[in-house]
Order: sequence, then C-alpha cells, then structure tokens
Amino acid sequence: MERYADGEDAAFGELFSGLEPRLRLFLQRMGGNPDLAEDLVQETFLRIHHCRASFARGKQVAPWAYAIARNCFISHTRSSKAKLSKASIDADQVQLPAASGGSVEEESIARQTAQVVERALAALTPARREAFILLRYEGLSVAAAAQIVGISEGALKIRAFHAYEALRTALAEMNQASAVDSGKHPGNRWAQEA
Amino acid sequence: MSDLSFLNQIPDPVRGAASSARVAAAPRPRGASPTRSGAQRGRVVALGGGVAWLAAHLTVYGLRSDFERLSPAYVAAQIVLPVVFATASLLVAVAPGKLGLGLGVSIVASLAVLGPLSFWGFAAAMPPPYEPAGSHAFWLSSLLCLDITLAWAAAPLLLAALALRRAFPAAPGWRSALVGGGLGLLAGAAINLHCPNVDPAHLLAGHGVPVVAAAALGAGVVARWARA
Repeated sequence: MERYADGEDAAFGELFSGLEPRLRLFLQRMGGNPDLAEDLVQETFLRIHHCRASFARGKQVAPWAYAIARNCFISHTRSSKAKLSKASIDADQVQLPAASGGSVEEESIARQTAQVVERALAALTPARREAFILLRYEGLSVAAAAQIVGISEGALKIRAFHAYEALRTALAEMNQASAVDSGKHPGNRWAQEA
Repeated sequence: MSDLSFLNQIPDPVRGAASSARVAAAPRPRGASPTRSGAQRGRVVALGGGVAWLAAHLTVYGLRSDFERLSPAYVAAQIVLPVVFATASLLVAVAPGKLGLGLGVSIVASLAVLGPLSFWGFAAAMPPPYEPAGSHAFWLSSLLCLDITLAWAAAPLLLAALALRRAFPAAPGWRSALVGGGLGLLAGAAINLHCPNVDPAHLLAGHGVPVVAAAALGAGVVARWARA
C-alpha cells in the first residue's frame, strides 16, 4: 500500500489479492448477499484507487480499507436504488464450512445454525450489526472498530453487546425448538459449534 | 464489559466462504488519482491560498483604528485565541492518528463544538474596552459584518473542500465540521481585526454566527467531498 499510495500503480494487484478476501467477507456479512458483496468490493477498490493519497505513511492498511468498504456499503444502502432488505438475504447462499467428516445430523445442525445467525444478523440495526461483525468476525480491536465506525469505544461495545444478546436469543430459541422436535432437553449446541 | 471474548460464542455463518469462493477479478482503476505528495502539495496550496485571501481582504478593508484603546486581554481573547483555536482545529482535523484514520472522534467532535463556542463565549463574556457607540444601526451593521465574514470564510472553505477530497475515511462529518469551524475562526479573527465595533451583541451576531455557519457548512457540504 505504501508503494501504491506513492504512485506505483503496479502495486495495485498485490494490494487487491491481499485485501479482497477480507473485504468481500466483511461486505457479505454486512449485506447478507454474496453478489452484492462482490459489486461492493469492486466499488471499494475503485475508491481505494481514488483516495490512496489519504493513506497515512507507516500505518496499517486493514482499518483504512475497512473504513472505505464501510463507506461504500453506507452509500449503497442510502442510494434510492438500493434494494437491500431482510428479504434479500437468501439463507441458501450461506457458505457453510467444508464437511469435516461429520455426520449428516451435525451438518444439518451447522447449516441450520448458520441460517439462524444470518437471519438474526439481518434483523439487527445496521449500527449494531457492523459493531458485532467488526469485533467478532473481522477480529479488529475495539479501538480500531470504534475509529472505523466513528464513535467512542464505549458506544461500540454497547452496540456489540446488544447484537450479541439478540443473536444469543435467536440461537437459544432455535435450540429450544429443535429440542422439542427431538424430545431432548435444550442444550447449548450452538455454543459448542463456535 | 472490558473482555468481549463472549462474542466468540456466536458462530460465523460465512466461515469457509473465503476458501471456497472463486477469486474475484481485480477492477481496472481508471483515471488519475492523486498520490500522497500531490495531495500534500494541494493542502499547502489551499492553506496558503486561504490565508492570502484573508490577508488581501484585510489589506483592502483596512485594520481597525482603535487598537490603542484595546487591552491586551481583549486582543488576546478576540484575535489571538481564535487564531490559536483555528490552527489547532486544522491540525487535529488532518492528523493521521494511531491507526491512520485520524484522531479519535471524541477529540475531533469536542474541538469542532468548542472552537465556535469559545468564539461566542469570548464575544459575550469579555467586557467591552470602552462604551459601545450605540445600537441605532445594530441590525444593519451586524448584517454587514455577517455578510463580509461569510464571504471571507467561503473561499478558504471551497479550497479546503478541493484539497481534502476523499481525505477522511472515518467520521468525515466531524472532521469536516472541524475544518469548517477552523476556517470560520480564522475569518472571525480577521473580521475582529477589521471591525472596531465592541458591542458584545454585534460580536455575537455579526462575527460569531458566521463561525458557526462555517462549521455547519463544513459538516454538511465539505464532508460530501471529503468522505473517502
């Protein structure tokens, strides 16, 4: 990124291959739609090209790139053409972990859990969703996530906690329902999955 | 809630997607984009242009004629401190911070509010160094100063918007408000250097309102350009 920000255009490919997977997953989690994420990744990299001069020398590239990707997502959701809604999230498109020799029942539970989490994430307010995603899935520090979102660290923690509570409740309800179906006592399988 | 490890109890619905998804093609960026050295040059030119704009107008309009009647404390509060606050505002707005996303939003937001407020505070709280000339033309003189101060702040704001294009990836609204407030304070200090009216109400309405307006313009207009 240092070379690219200094004007070496050839470094763009290297930058793209290093950042693209992380940004695509981040945008997929934010929007719940792989196709939308792909479009937004392209838009994000075009923006990165146009604002490369704003990259401060000697700093980490990831928080800066996440901030730009977030701005792209916000621009998309604000545009009148945006059709992002809860209905746009297709649970069948959820990419599940590759089967690791588990039983059919385990795979089914994993798929069901992923769908529940995906739906619960989509039901969150964007502010809570992004706080949770940045901390839990993107693995950023509280300080970095708060800087990206543009709020205080305390406010970010509160948003993430509210998101966690909503997701925990959704998973607990799923566990309860599946326990009733199978006649078992409600367990904590989703927590073990994590 | 200092330890957030409990968040890890929630599974990731898209884990594994990174390895299984096809590799996306890199976009082909079109059009020239400024490099760091180009952006730096642009900022220096914009700052120099803004200061030259104010200096040129002060030269044409002339300095106030009552300097010998003003106390050092009055000059410090009405002219020196706004310039100090303006300089601090501009430096804080463009500082890279620890992560390269700028200084913390709490600092930026506090300064964006405190800068213009301090100008109003000094205007209202500082006792006039001598009896004001009377208020028979209060609205006319205040409107005139308001117009002049807004015009003096407008050109530096426009230059800042051009120089800071796509400069703020995070919290662009607050950072742009800080830039606007800083430039408003510079214009406010300049009008205080020119206008000899010491009526606190005139200072609030004619000189102080444009400072707040510049901060609001920064947050509303400059932010649209400055968002990365």
